[in-house]
Amino acid sequence: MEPILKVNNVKLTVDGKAILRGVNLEVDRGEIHAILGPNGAGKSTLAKLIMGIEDLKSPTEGEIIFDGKVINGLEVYERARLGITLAWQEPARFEGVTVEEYLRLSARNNPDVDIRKCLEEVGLVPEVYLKRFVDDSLSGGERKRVELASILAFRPKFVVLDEIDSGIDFTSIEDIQKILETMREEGITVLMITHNEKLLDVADRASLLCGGKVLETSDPQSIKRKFEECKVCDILDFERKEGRDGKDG
Amino acid sequence: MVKTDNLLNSILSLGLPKDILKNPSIVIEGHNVIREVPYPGISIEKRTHEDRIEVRINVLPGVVVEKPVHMCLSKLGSGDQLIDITVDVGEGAKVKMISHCAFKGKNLKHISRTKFRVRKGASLEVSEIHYHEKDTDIVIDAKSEGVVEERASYKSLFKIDSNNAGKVRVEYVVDILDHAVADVETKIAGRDGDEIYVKDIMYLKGKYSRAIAKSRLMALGDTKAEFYGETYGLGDYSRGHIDCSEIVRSENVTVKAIPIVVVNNETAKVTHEAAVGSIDKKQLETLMARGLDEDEAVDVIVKGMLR
Ligand SMILES: Nc1ncnc2c1ncn2[C@@H]1O[C@H](COP(=O)(O)OP(=O)(O)O)[C@@H](O)[C@H]1O
Ligand SMILES: [Mg+2]
Repeated sequence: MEPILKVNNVKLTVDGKAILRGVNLEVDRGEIHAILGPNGAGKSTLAKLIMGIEDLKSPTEGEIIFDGKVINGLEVYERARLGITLAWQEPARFEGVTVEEYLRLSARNNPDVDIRKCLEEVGLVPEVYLKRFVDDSLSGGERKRVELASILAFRPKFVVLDEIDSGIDFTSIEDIQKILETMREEGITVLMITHNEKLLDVADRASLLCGGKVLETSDPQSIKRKFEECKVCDILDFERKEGRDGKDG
Repeated sequence: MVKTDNLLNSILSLGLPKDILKNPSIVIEGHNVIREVPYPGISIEKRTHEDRIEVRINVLPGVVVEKPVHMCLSKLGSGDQLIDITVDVGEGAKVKMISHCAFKGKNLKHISRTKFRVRKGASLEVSEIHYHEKDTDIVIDAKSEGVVEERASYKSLFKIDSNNAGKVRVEYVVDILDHAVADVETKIAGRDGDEIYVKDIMYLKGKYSRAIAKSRLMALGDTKAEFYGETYGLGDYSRGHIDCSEIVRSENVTVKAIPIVVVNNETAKVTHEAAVGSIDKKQLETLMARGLDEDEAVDVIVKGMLR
C-alpha cells in the first residue's frame, strides 16, 4: 500500500542556515511512527512543514506528499481538510471558549462524534470539563488532554504529535499510551516526536532524525538504541551548540 | 395586539434570548413602550415626548431582585431614538438590569443619557448588549453618569459584537465614594467603516474606593477605534486600574489607547495597562489545523474575547 505521507528529499534553509538537509521519510497508513533525534535536529521544523504552520508552507527544495497529493504551498486549513492535523507542544489557550465549544468545532464535520466520549477517552470527566474554558485556568496537563480529545473529535487521517509527553506527569503517560492506541484503532495514522520509553513501546516504527536528515527508519527499540549510541548525533549536536555559542559570543 | 406581537417577533428575530419576555421586562420601540411586565418593589415611570422618551427606574430600599430586569430598546427602520434614563437604587437594594438593544435599518440614531445613583450599601449591575442586523447603519451615542455611594457597588458591561457596530461613542463618568466599588467594561468589535470611541472617567473620591475601567476593542476591518480612560485617585487608600486592549486585523485601521492616571493623594494607587496587537497566530493556526478557514477562526477567537 502507498504510504499516507511521503517526505521526498526535503531541504529547508532559513536565513542562509540549512535546517533540513534532505529529509526522506515514509509513514505507512494506520501506523504509529515515532521520530527521535537530538535537540535542534529539525524535528519540530519537519512537523511544522507538514502542517504548514508558522509560515513554513513550502520547503526550499523537495516535496511533501499526503495521500498521493503534493501539499507544498497549501494553507493550514486546506491541509486540515485533507485530513492532517497537529498537536502543539504547548497548545494555545482560548479566552471565552469552552471545552464543549472547542470540541464541537473540531467535530463539526463529524455529526456522529460523541464529544463526551472523546473527553472520557482522554481521562477527563465530561460533567466537570465541558463547561470549563480552554484558557489559562486549565493546567498544562489538562490542556494537553483537551487537545487530544479535540483530535479524537476531529478524526483526522493523520496527526503529528510534537512532544505530547512533555509537561505531563509520569502517571499520565499510561493514559497517553491508551489514547495512542485508541487513535490507531480508529484508523488515525500518528507521527509522534518523542523520546519517552513508554510511548515508544506503543509505536510500530521509528525514524532517527539527526543533523537535518533521517538517518534510519526501523523498529522503535533499535532506533532508540541507535539514538543513544549515535556518535554522529553527538558530534552534530555538539557542533550546533558550539556554533550557536560562537555566534552569540 | 397583533401589531405588537409582530413587532416583538421582529425584535426577537435579531438574536435576542427568547426567554426575556418571561422575566420582569420593559420593551421600548422607538419612543413607545410596547410591553411591560412589572416587578414588585421596582417602579418604572415612562414619559413619552414627541422626540424622546424618559424612563425613571426606582428600586425601593432593601429590595433584592433575584431575576434580572430586562429592558429591550429597539428601533427598526430609520430615524432617531432618544432615551433619558434615570436609575435610582435605594439603600441596601440589589438589582441586575440587562438592556438588549436591537437595531435594524438605515440612518438610525440611538442616543441614550443615563443618570444613576446607587445608594449606600446597594448594588447595581447593568449590561447593555447590542444586536445589529447585517448592513444596519447606525450612530450610537451612549453616556452614563452616576454616583456609587458608600459601600455600594456598580458593575457595568457594554457590548456590541454583531455585524457592524456603527459609529459608536460610549462614555462613562462615575463618582465612587467611601468603600464603594465600580467596575466598567466595554467590549466592541468594529468592522469595515465602523468608528468606535470609548471614554471612561472614574473619580475615586471616597476612602478605600475602588474602580476598574476595562475595554476590549477589536478592529476587524477598516475601523477607527479609540479608548480614552482617566482615573482620579483622590480618596485615601483608593485603588484604580485601567485595562485596555485592542486587537487589530486589517491594514487600514487607526487605533489608539490612552490611559491617564491622576493621583493627588499619596495613599492612593492607580495602575494601567494598554496593549494594541494582532490576533495570536498560534490560536489562529490551532483552529485552522481543525479545518476552520482564517475568517472562521478569527470569529471564534473574537467571540471568545468579547464574551
Ligand atoms: N524560525 C527559525 N529561524 C531560524 N532557525 C530556526 C527557526 N526555527 C528553528 N530553527 C533552528 O532550526 C534547528 C531545528 O530546530 P527544531 O526543528 O526546533 O529542532 P528540534 O525540534 O529537533 O529540537 C535549530 O537549530 C533551531 O535553532
Ligand atoms: Mg522540538
